Amino acid sequence: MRFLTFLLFLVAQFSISQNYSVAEIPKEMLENADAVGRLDRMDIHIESIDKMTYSVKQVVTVLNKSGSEYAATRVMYDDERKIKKIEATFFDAFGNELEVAKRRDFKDVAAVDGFSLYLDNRVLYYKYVPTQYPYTVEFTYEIETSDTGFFPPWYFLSGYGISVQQSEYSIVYPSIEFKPIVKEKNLENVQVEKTDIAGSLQYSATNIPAMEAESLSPSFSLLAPSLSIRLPKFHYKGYQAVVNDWHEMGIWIQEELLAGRDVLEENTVKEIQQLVKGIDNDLEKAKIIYNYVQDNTRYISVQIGIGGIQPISAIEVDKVKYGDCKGLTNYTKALLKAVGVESFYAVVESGSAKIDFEEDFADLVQGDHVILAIPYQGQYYWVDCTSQILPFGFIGDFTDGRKVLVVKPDGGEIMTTTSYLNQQNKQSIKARYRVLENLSMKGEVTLKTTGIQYDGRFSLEKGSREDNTEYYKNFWDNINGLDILDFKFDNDKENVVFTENVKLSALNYLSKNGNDYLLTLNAFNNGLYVPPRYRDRKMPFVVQRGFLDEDETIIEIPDNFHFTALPEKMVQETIFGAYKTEVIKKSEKQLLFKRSLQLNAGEYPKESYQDFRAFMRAIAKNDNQKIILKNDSQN
Amino acid sequence: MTAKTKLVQLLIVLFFFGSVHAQDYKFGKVSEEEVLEKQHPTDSSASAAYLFKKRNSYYRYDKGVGLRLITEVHNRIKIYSKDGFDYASEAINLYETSGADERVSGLKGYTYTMDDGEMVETKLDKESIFDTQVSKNHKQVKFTMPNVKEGSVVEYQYKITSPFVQSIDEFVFQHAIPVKKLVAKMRILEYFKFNQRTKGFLIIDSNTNVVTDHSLGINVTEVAFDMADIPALKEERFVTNMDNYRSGVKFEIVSLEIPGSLYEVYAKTWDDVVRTIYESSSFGEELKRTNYFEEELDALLATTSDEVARMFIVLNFVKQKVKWNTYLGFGSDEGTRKAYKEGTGNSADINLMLVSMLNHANVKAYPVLVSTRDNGIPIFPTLEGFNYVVAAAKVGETYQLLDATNAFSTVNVLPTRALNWFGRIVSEGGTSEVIDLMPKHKSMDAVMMSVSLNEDGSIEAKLRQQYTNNNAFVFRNQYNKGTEEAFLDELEKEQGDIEINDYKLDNNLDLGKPIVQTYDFYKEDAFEAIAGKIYVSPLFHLAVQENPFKSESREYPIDYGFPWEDKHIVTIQIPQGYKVEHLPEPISLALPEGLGKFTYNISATNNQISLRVEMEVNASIFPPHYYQNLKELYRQVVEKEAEKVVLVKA
Repeated sequence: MRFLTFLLFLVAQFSISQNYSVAEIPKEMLENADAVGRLDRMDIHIESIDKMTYSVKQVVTVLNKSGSEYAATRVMYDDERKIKKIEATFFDAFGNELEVAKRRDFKDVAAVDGFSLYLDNRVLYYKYVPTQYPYTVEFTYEIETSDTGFFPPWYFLSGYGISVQQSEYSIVYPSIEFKPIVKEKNLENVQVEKTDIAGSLQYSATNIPAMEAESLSPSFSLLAPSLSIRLPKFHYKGYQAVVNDWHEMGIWIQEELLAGRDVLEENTVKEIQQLVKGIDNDLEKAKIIYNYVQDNTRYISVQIGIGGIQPISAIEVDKVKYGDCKGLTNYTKALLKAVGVESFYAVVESGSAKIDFEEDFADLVQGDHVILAIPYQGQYYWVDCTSQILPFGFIGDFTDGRKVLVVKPDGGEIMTTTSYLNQQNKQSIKARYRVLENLSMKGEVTLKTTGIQYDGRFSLEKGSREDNTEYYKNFWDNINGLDILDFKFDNDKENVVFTENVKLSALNYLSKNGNDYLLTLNAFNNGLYVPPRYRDRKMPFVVQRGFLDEDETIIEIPDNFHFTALPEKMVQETIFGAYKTEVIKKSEKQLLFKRSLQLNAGEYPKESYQDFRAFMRAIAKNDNQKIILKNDSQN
Repeated sequence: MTAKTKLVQLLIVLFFFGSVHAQDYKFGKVSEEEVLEKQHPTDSSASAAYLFKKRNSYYRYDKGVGLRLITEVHNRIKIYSKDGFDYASEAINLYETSGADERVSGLKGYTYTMDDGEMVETKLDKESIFDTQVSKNHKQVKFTMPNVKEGSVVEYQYKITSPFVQSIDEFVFQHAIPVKKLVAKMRILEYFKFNQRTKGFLIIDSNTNVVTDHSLGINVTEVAFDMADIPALKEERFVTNMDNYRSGVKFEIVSLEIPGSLYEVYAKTWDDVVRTIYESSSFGEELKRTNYFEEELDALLATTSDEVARMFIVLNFVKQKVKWNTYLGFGSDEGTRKAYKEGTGNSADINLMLVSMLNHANVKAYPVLVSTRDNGIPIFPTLEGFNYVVAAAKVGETYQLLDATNAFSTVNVLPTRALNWFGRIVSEGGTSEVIDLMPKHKSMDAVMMSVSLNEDGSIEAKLRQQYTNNNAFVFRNQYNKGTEEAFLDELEKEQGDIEINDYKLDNNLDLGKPIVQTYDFYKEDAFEAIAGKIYVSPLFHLAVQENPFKSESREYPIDYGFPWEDKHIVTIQIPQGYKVEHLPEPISLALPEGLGKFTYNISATNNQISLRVEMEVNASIFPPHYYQNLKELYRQVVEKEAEKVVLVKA
């Protein structure tokens, strides 16, 4: 579902041959590091609006096998991005040269993104076989490009697990009108020197220790020290632009990339108008059109040149009935236009981690996907035209709750997509199970999900019987010897509610331990993820999306058994959410187990992590709580 | 029987035949019924199906160009649901060298779709066909069919012309989706001797006739296949490579006897395959080279005359001298001498060097041809059946298997990729015998753990764990991949969020000895207290948490890779003021024919509970008819290991 075909090339570089002995690395640079960036340098020379060169020198010492990923000797190129020079030299731990790879030693292969039918990008790479650790690679290359509209961000650290001794980034530009705009991110704790003189801009940082990955932390790109760079006046794949803000970016996209691409054949227009005949309401019309697109097209990605950011025309999509996110969105927009419904092309950064468009920084780097925004009575409905199964107006966790660029005819605008709030992401379980005299159980569960929880489950509808049976056995892996007897689904796309009804049984659910029979009350919502403990948590943590679970389970026991003590009502309320359980004795042989858990979305400081974990632990523990049954004949 | 009744019978047969097979398989003759069909008649879970799959392979002779292998492909595919859309795209892989290349021609395709009750035909445009130079020797032609919706039928055909006349792609008869009708033909010149090998679980009928190829003007052997209703090949867990079970036929040219031209043996039997490999310069010749290493190796060997000691010296020397560049192959890539000098090489560079060094050291050794797990089981005696080589040293009367491509592989502990059923030992002159590659020795995972219970439900414990053989191999590769910090983080997580202190590892680099790791740990919420009693699952996080076998039935063998034994000995200190109210019953379970067993023994004294749990699996690979036994064994193991010790106030 990519929009842009640019692949990040987080490669770095530097200058004169120096001592690459591992002994020269300061001790603190080795902490938590699989690799050490000895020098990471990029020199950019902007010659004119459509000519720019990158000289890159990257020296990385790889300390162990995991560190090799930071020393990849590969560079991407395409028609507008030519590799002028490329070379890699490898050294042993003492800095003695082991091997040199010249351009002819590099392999030339087609780039593969794993989902596109065709891409025009290619890769030059050299496969190095480490004969020892640590080793050091000095990788240099030079690129000449006419694309001044796309500057990859400069990361002072290219990932967790690498420290960097020296990071140098410089841009030389011919005149003030080519002076790049730079946005600095997370530089507070980094020693950076900045030199900004006429015609040249430089950043230099030293001794940046490795960052350690922590569970639930914000995305690396939001935490890492980095620079975003853009030119307000640029050239891209044969197009020119002057863009100072998102408003102007919107105008450029509209006029250069979209204009005229929403024309349809006369026949198609007639057919579509026929589809919505007699319907006045724009929202109803939009639903019909979206349905039509879902039933008649499919996602196929082909990326060539400007096609990386420009949609193929609506006429073409109409003919072949496939397209990528840009093509399908533009096509849907064209169909809507044909029936008099306004809609806007919207560029978004996709993925379950929410990444916002930065309001103060308009560039082509942000965004990798396109969706459609449909205004109706002061509200916006967002649809993803690449999905053949999502309900109208529902975008799930792929593009929800984040700032996106909406391209309107009079300019671009940053808007936020639909957020699915805590209680909207609901799962309710109504279940009933009976324990039999042979200690097995038999029961029936009804799950209803909405919001993001719907998103996680509604595709079960498409699964085969075998796959779904196996799915439930994994879903309830807390129940040993589980058998799935039957299940059925109801997918209410109008209200976005998915209902599952499952009949099941399990051998020896009641566990006999001496004279005590242990019964786990919470059979169907057990297995909450407790985040790991950190001796010294360093980063804040994020609960991206909240949820609400409400469960009611009726439990019946055999005639010749009786309950002993029942657990007290449990209530835990914290800033992270609320958890309640209650066991109600309905009769001598029947209990009602009630459970609710609300988790609140939010970003929390690292100091709260202990408390959060304690809350989750308490829940997991209580969820697993057992009661004791006694057999009447035994005492 | 009169001629007349015969005719009547024939007519009846024809009529009957005709009415059942009303389908027209000619290109372009897609019927409305096919487009209207809502689901596959016998496999309702199928997202798509081949309605018709045809392949014809034959030879043509062009003056000036020479002999060409032509393959015609014609597929008609029904798309039932959105999940089946992937079958509307096709990728044709083509091989090329500097002098010769494979080409595609005559590619055309149509999609048939119902639109308002009418069948619409959409043509595949030339602009929607993409050529990619994937790498130096690999080209790809890719396309996706237009106007595809649920219910659509796509049909396309193309022809591949190949100058690589002896390399005939496998005829693949089974896919992840069902095939309704399949026809295939292979025509081989009478000058060619060939092998035909069948694999998979389906019964494959073929008809072989000698016919005249009018275009060539000579006789050819024609092998024809005509099959119907081939079921989908469904993925199963614990299968190394589903291709092992995929039905198909492989033709391999054994020899060419073109009059006036040279006679060349490719392969016929396993012995032929081995001889061919042996005689190739990248194999047999490499085994003879010794001068490049003699000096260095002799210095090391001078210290001992013991055969076993010399074997280890050579193995360690090769491992230290040459690192594996991750390329497979049984033939030396750059040559052993160059690999030795540069310090890197493919599997053959390294292991052929190992063989010649062993022989030089007076340890009798042979190369062993192997198919890696990813390459599938070597079912057919073909050159492609093998893609790897290891070494076998004959010490006394037994063979010891060795592989120097991995730093942590040792005698009879091969890297997991090489553990794939059988290999062939190659003797001088190119004769061969079969050798079982699957480890015979069990790999141990032995844990001793002593636990004390804290009042808050946490535990503190000391643990000592020992791994042998392949378990140790896996451990060493894991541990030595990154920093110890990263390893411990992972270990803490994997063991159910324990907190590890005083970690100590022994024998990490001493491959002759078992891995021994010891550490103290702390774990929260490790047992429960209910109504004044304590309930403890005495294996804690060592217990098998869930049954790995979830599906109802099984069609293919279950592959563990190597036999193993887990031995867990746990002692639990009974807290002050408590006594044992209940201990789980000891049990002993067994798989049929001694293939595996599980024993659980527990006892208590005044202040301590002792538990000994052992589970062993004595085969690397289980035929599928043991599936229910294994599944039931695991169910009972999970149940037993979840059982509680009950402690009450004394």
